[in-house]
Amino acid sequence: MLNRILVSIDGSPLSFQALDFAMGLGAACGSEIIVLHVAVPFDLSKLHSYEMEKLEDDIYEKIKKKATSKEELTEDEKSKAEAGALEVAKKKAAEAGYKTILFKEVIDNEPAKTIVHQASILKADAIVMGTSGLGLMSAALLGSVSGKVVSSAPCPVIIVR
Amino acid sequence: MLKKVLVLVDGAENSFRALNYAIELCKLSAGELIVMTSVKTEMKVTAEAAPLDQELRTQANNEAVKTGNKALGSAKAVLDGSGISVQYILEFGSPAAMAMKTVEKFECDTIVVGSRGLGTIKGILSDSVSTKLVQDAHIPVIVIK
Repeated sequence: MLNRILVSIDGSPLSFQALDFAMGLGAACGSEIIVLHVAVPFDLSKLHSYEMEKLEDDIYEKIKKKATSKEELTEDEKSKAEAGALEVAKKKAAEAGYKTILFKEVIDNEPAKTIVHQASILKADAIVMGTSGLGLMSAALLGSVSGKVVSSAPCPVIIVR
Repeated sequence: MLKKVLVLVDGAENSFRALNYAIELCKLSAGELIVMTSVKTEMKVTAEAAPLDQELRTQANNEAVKTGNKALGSAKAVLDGSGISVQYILEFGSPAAMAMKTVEKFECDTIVVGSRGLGTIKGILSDSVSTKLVQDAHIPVIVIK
């Protein structure tokens, strides 16, 4: 039923909780997991410095700590976490010993559209993702990625909180 | 994870897709399933009101109970013989709010719900249960198309 699970991460602690959830589910079904990170270009606050290929260890520890306490990251930590999202995901997968896992980075300025598009071309059976935690109205007005994905995805969507 | 799964049914086709998905998940994780349906009672009269109202209220609620039981009955038909431990719950009130209550009461760890595919704005305006749950729930929500 779940041969291929697409996990969308953005570097936030909640998105790594989504990854944990997907790995738990995937272990039960023996499924392949594809971790997708959509990088938004021209967003200077999220600019990825390619010299920073190696992830700083302290940010990894911080993300792990804050995922359990559900604390918010500071702005500085946020941009570091965003840039190193895939690195953190790789570490997490290695720690969990998950073998059938792939990592993919796509650059696009419309994350929701990209996630849905990737889900359909990769023939994913489910999309797992976190949510920004915006309220009902602000999500509608600002445009929440998870909300858009839920309404236009070709497959079941699992929103982790 | 997936030890206690809450699935919302209302008798519509989408909710049966959600139910089937939940059954598959429960089989995988050997989890327990809680099937809930919530009906909106037309008459919001409290028990303390006049006796005449009480009669009207039961009448109106009878219809609602019938609809709810019908939805649960068709869910039971699907679940019979699947070998999963199931609890059926009939609630009165807004489905999203009741779902949140049930989650707390039974300590569920995942919600499975069907979607009408309305989109964000339409979803809010037409009181979409899945949109509300995605916003408000504190546990993972699986939305089935």
